[in-house]
Amino acid sequence: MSETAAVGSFEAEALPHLDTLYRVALRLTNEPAAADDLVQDTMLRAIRAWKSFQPGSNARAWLVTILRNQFISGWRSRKRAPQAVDMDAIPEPPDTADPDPEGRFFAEIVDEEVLAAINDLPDEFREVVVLSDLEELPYADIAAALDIPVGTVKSRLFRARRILQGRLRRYAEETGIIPPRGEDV
Amino acid sequence: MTDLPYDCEAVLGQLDALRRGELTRTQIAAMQMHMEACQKCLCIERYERAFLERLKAMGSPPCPDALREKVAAALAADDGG
Repeated sequence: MSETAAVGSFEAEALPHLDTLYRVALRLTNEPAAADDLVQDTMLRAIRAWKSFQPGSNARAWLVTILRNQFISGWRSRKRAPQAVDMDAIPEPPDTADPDPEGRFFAEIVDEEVLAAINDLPDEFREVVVLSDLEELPYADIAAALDIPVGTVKSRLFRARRILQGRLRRYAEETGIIPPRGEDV
Repeated sequence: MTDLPYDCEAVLGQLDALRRGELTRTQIAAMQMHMEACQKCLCIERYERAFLERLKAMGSPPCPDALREKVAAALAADDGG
């Protein structure tokens, strides 16, 4: 393939995924300017590695892998230390005695609080939530991007959701959206 | 729930697959049959669905045009590193 054809195929395959890359970068860095830089670094790294891309394979997953590796090597070290997670503070799923067993309170929580909860997740949990629940990547693509087994993706996702649900539930209780569990309605 | 094709563990382990449309009609029917009889699993399924819908409701900001232009310029100027 000529260099011109290679650039053309890169642009055709990679540029449509800029939206996904930007959103993932934004959630990983939590800073728009840093997300810009991370996306640019990713695309430069990607075009230089384009010869190693298998035509017909999943360009989005390939790009997310590069972005995530760039984040780990160049960005994560600048961030805060990983958050400690108190698994004992994570509530059990609702039961039929719950004041809001169908989770209607989630819809009442403001975007800022949801984003803050996602941003406060430890990196290993945040990245699976972003890739699965926000970007809707298949488990296999997430596993490839993070270089972990599909089973680990599922288990991290399960824990990440519980952590988020716990935090959002506490917020809903503290702000009076729902009464605390065990309290008469 | 032993007379149902799926037990609670099987149902809760496949909620994501159900939401993602990855199950066969037979599996979907088995999931539905279980949840019609099991309030606990039905409750968890609705709770999870409400949670995921809330995450998705935050919207999907597109890549800003300025960043697209920066990427295009960076790619055009790239000499291979």
